[in-house]
Amino acid sequence: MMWSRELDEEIREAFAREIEAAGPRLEGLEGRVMARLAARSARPSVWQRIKEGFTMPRWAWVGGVTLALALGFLLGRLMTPSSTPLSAYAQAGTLFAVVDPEAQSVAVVGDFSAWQPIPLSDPDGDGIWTVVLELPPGRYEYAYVVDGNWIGQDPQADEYVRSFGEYSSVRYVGTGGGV
Amino acid sequence: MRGLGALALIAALGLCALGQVQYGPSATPAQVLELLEALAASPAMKWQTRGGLAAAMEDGRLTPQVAYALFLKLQGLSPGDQEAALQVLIEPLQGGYPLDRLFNEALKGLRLSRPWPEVEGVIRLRVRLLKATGQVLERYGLLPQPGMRTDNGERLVLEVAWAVGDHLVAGGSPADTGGMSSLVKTRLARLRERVLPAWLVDPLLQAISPALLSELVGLALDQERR
Repeated sequence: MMWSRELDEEIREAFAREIEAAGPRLEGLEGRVMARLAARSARPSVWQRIKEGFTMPRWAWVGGVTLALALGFLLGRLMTPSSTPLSAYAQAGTLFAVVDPEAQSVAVVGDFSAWQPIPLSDPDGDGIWTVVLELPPGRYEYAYVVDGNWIGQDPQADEYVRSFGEYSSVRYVGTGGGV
Repeated sequence: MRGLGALALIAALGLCALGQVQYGPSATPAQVLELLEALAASPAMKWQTRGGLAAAMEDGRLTPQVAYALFLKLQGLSPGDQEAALQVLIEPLQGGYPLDRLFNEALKGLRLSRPWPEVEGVIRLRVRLLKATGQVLERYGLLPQPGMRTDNGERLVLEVAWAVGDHLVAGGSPADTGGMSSLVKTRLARLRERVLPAWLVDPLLQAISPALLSELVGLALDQERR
């Protein structure tokens, strides 16, 4: 028991010495802590910021998300060869599309038009030129002509062929006009 | 969220549906024959061509619209090339082959401003391949009725000949029958059930081999040399 009491005394003295040594650093500690807490509360939390975001007008959310999804969907389909091209969603026929914001004129030529140009249109000026053709089931060779230049390799094509020193694209159209 | 997805799809389809058109110049057989008469070729050549041309348009092997487009383009060639063009077209016109693909190939070459001799070389090779393919498939019993071709049989011959031709025209080696075999099989698989019935394609898919294609190409190139 004697040992324990001596030990307690030793510990108390050690704490006292530590506190005394740290005295200058502890001065104004409470004030500093309160100041920091005040600074943090001035910046809204992530959750608060999300909640504030939802206070935007509903039409702005719906419009923004719809536009982003539509453009993302369309551009993704145009840039990536896919087993289910966008034309499959367009029941009307086969979609031909070129994304070129700089182009002045875009046409598609192919064996479905005796290699005569069929113009693509971009009425809203967003650089996405399109035309939908009703093609019976079959295999079709085609190319785009952008400002007079032959563009033979369409990312949406099923295959490419090369003749007369240029590539042409090929699409296989199934029953119902879709690819 | 579902509502947003539907709106997005409607917006995307709206963009896709822009610019739907009816396309291609229309023409009648009479207009095609008028253009033939205007070509700078010998009367004998025109007379030979006229019969085959009229028959091909009448029995559906050649669309007047495609023929009109080609004969219009031929007007722009030199008199010598116009005569040469008719010369190379007479055989397929009289041979009973489907002609739209062949005429379109010539139109593509001319669209790309290639000189007529280059276009003619490709057409000549395609015609040889059509002939050789018909002979080889018939010999192997791969056509529905030997000697009496149906539309499907004609289409099968055309597609095989075209695939082999695409390999050669693109600069592929005639000796690369493995690559050619793979190309023909891929193409037939894509056409199966779209435009060609499975009962017709499946036996050919089984039978196509480098040996068969080697025989086919050999026959076509041998005709070419002669």
